[in-house]
Formats: sequence, C-alpha cells, structure tokens
Amino acid sequence: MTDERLLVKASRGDEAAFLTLYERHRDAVFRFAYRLLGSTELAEDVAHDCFLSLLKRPQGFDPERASLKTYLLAAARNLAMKHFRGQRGEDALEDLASEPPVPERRGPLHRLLDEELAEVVRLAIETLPPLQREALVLFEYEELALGEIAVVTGTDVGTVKARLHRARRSLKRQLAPYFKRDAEAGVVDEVLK
Amino acid sequence: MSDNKDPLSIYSSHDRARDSADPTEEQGLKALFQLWSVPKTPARLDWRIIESYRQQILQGDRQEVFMKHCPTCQEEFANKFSFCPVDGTPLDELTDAAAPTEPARVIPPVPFGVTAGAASMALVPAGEYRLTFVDDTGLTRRLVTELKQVAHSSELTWPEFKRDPFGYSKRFVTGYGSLVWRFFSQRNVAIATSAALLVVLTASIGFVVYGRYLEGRAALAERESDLVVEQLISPDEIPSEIEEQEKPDKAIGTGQGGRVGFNKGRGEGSKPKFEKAGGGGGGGQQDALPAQQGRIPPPSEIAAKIPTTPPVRPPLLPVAGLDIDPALYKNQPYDRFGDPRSKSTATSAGPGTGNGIGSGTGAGIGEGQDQGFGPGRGGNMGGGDRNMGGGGPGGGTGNNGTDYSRTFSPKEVNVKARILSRPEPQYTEEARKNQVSGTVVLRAVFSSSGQVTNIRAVSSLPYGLTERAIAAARQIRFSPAMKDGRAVSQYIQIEYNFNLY
Repeated sequence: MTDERLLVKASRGDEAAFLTLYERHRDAVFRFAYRLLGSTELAEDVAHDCFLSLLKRPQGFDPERASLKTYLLAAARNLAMKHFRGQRGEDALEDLASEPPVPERRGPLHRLLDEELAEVVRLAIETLPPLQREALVLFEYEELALGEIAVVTGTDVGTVKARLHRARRSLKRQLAPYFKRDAEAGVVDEVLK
Repeated sequence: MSDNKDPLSIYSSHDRARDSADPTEEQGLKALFQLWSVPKTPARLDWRIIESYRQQILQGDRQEVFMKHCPTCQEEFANKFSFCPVDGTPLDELTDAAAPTEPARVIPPVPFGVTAGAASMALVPAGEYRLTFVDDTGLTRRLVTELKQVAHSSELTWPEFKRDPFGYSKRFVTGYGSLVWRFFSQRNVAIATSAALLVVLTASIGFVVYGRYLEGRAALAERESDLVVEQLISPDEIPSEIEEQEKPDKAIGTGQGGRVGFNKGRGEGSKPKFEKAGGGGGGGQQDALPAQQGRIPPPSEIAAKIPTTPPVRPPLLPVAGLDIDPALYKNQPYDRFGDPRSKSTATSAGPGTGNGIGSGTGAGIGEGQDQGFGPGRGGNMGGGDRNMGGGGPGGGTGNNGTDYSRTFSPKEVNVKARILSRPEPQYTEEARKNQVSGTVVLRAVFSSSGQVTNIRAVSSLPYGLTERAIAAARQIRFSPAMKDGRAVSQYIQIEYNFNLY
C-alpha cells in the first residue's frame, strides 16, 4: 500500500496503517535528526514532532511534489533548524563562508581506536555550519539525490552542490591528518574490512 | 542521477583542479564517514509516537462532537457551516457527546440475504399481506441503510468528491458494485433472477414466432387474393395505360397511399407522370345505341359487385369499382350500372370501345378514356387530366383548375376589357392658378361586375388633380374582360393628361 493511502487511513484513525507508515520512515528520520543535532534525545524529539505534525496536518503533504520520506526529512530539517536558531541565532546558519575551528583532537595513541575515530568524524561534521551539514548528511548518509536534497532544504541544486563542496573541502582539511596517515599505515584498509 | 551520486561529479572542474582530489583521498574520506554510526532508534520513541497518535485521534473524536450534523444526508460538517454544503439543509448542533456520530450504532446494519429476509418477515405481522415493495417500510429502510453504509464506508461525500473526483468515482463504482454483486450472488436471488430472465426470454421468442406466423398467413391470403383478381380480369381487358404502370398500380384498388386524386398522383391507377395522367371515363362496347341510363359503380375503395345482367354483354368494369374519389361518389337511384347523364333507357353499353359504358375508350363510364367517369382521361371524375386540375378535388367542374374569381392581367384573358365611355377630368382652380400640367397615371381593376375598383395612383399631380383623375376613372363604363367564356376582372392602367393650352 502506498504511503499516501496509509496516511489517509492513519488520519482517519487506522492505527495499523499509521504504524506501518511510521516503521517505514522512522529510522531515516531519526538518523537524519541525530546526525544534524548530534543528540539522541534531540533526535527523538524531532522525529516525534515530525510524525506528529504529519498527523495534525496531513494535507500539508503533497504527493505531487515529493515522496513522503522527502517530506518527513524536510520537516525534520526544519525542526532541527528551529533548534539551531534558538541555540545559535540566524547568523550561524547563513555563515557559510566562515571556516570552523579545527576540533580538539586527542593524542595519537587513541586515534587508532574506531570509536575515537568515529568521534573525530562526528565532531568534524558537527563543526560544519548547519546548512552544509544537512547537505552532507543527506548526500552521504541518506543517499538522497541532489534534486531531493534541494527539495528538503528548500533550495536549488546549484546551492546544494556548493554547500556539499564546501563541506567536503572543510572536512578534508580537518580530517586530512587522519586518513592520510592512516592510509599510509594501512589503517584505512582495516577499517574498510 | 547516478552522476549526481558521485561526489566528484558535483564539483566544477575548477574546484576539482584546485582541490586536486585523488581517489585515495576520496576513498579515505568516505571510509571515515562510514565510521560515524547512529545509535539505534530508541524504543521510547515508538511508545511516544503511539501515545501521541492515540491522543491525536481521540482529540479528533472529541472535536467531532462540536461538529454539526445534517439531518438530510446524515453527514457531519465543521462547526463553521450553518447549512449543509451538500443539500443546503440547516445543520443541527451536536453538543451532546452521545450524538449519533456513527449511524451504524443507531441503526444496526442488516445485510442482504437470509438474515435480512428473516428480519423483514419479522417486521410484518402474521397474516398481514404486504402488497408492494414500497409498502414494506422495513425493506425500504434496510435498503436505505445498506446504501448509506456503502456511502459511509466508501467516503462518498460531497467534500470528498470535490477533493478527489476520480477517487470518489472509483470508490462509488467499487462500493455499490460490490453491494449489487453481494445481492445477486445470493442463492435465492440468483434463482429468482434467472427464472425471471428465462420467462421474459421465452415470452419474447413466443411473440416473435407468433408474429412471423401471422405474417405468413397474411402473405398467403394476399397471394390468394391476387390470384382471384387475376382470374377475374384477363390481361387483355386491362387498359393499356394501366399495363404500362408499375405493378402496384396495375392491381386496381391497391394504390400506394392516399385517396384517389388527392395525393399528388400517388393514388390508384395514377402516376405523377404527365403522359399517364388520368381523369374522365371510358368507353362502351361499340353498340349502336347510346349508353344506358344507370348508376356508376362505387369508387374502387368500396367493394362492388358487378352485376352480371347488364344490357347485352356485361360491361367489364373494374371489379373493385371505378377509379374515382370516394368523396365524389354518390349513390345513384338506378338499379343498374350506366351513365347517369344518359337519357336512354334502352339496354346498351354505348358506342365506345374498351368494354366500359359510354362513347369513350377504356373501362370507365362516359366519353373519356380509362377507368374514370367523365370526358377526361385517367381515373376520377371530370373533364380534365386527373392530376392536372380536372381530376383533383374540383374534378367535377372540369375547369382545368382555373380560379375565375381572381384578377387577370390583360395577357391572360381571351377578350380584354373594352372601355365604352371615359369622362375627362376637370382642372382645379388652384392647379390652373399655379400653372400645373402633367400626367396622372392610375392603376385599377375592371371587375367582372362592371365596377372600377382598387384604384391606385402610380404617378400623381398636386392641387387636387390626382383626385380629379380618380373621380373620372370611377365613371368609366366598360365591358368586362372574358376568359373561357366567362367575365373576369382585369388589371388596367389609365393615364390622364392635364394641359392648360
């Protein structure tokens, strides 16, 4: 059954239909929210509010414009942006040109641990401006197409490309010591295994 | 899109060159990205979501209490509506939570079938006979309930139709189609329907077969009738002009529609061809004596029995009678057939030819030709061609259809009107004082009764000269124009010249 039909049924009180719909998109919404906000609690709240807003206003979803997954990710993104605005203000969102500071790194002995390396990556991504971060997360982790990312973020494909480019350039700069050195030491191969 | 999934493809060549991205670097970056895993979605989120959903639905139910209810279509609408958007009925307030928000709770649905039949019977008191379907309110109510239930379950409401007409139509067809199928797929209903169809089919086939049988009998009777006519009239005795006509016209009394002489030549023995036009009567049997006095046979539409004891030889008049208009036929006070205009009481068919009665030719009566009556040709009575004015409704007058009461032009009359005296008009004093001269042209009618009527001035003069000319014209004495020996009215143009010298 299509998402649209399930949504119609769910909005009329069909709990089974709603659960089916929820299970289809729960993980994607939560993952995206988590990677944007970096917090399980915040991601849970965003995912919850995201589905609740869909229930309260199902007519806001237009199947002609995008899929339900895209719609939910856009809702999650808007909620996350609201959180960012409350925390940092509008300027931080739009300050795409500003270069983030290099995150604090631990000693070389601990970097070999995967968890720590993952933490380094997380911190590096978290230091990205939110607009770059969301573009990177949607592209690299949710594997959305550029057009879909443009729909979610409410911009055009060119802007998405520019944000992705800046995000990757910034990350390369921050993570260069790790993956260059790791590549030389064959650590990357182990990680890939 | 696959290109778009390649991170390198989204960058311009300039950026690519600037970053000097090599595959190893990209691979390493991607591998680092994969290290950042996301914790599993907490189960708490599921519970929160479900709880919120239930609260949301319950809240929605509570909100429905504050909606309004339409007593006609039984639908509920938002509180902002005062009248039903579907049928315009004033909406009722539903302030009570126990209001019938769900019709199924108020009226338990009774499905079609055995159960429904039992319920229907239970509504009818014992011994009472319900005559019609409409009379059985229980059945009607159940039908309405079923229809409403389908409408409710398929969401067949006006707002739904406005929102999605295609989906509405689809649900309409599906919902009611399944209802009909459920009804007809019941054993008893299927048997009853099949039996009814079988009866109707059998009756239809029976009617068709019976109709064919009657047609066959009628055709047989017609063939026998034709055979009798052919036996009674030998081909030699049929007038030659009738032979030339088409088959339906050969059979006397079986014309192609319309009464004789009334239907533009499509009557009996007559075709709209000039050379076959009829009128008048037939001839005798070359006897020395004039035709005997007697009555004419009735029109061909009236069955006639030709007397077998006429003068010397029986006149071979058409079996069915003469080809004349029944409207013109009158019974004559004679006990035998003959020419009612004849003075001769001696037995004779007349000097004509063609086995008729009279001096003409053909099987009619009179001086004419063919099987009519009179001096003309063809059928009917009169002196002219049957369909050329003599054989029509005025066939008896024999005036070729000319209306002598109308006014003719000088070219149409045989003898033009002749002026016997023509008084000259006098000048008026004013015209003389004003030195007016000229010509007054008048157009008038010299009526058949000798009066000058319908005077009109074609060209006039002032100071009363035209009036003087009209007064003079009124005093003209003339002899009327003549046409076919009759005095008729004629148009005439009169000119009066007014000169002072």
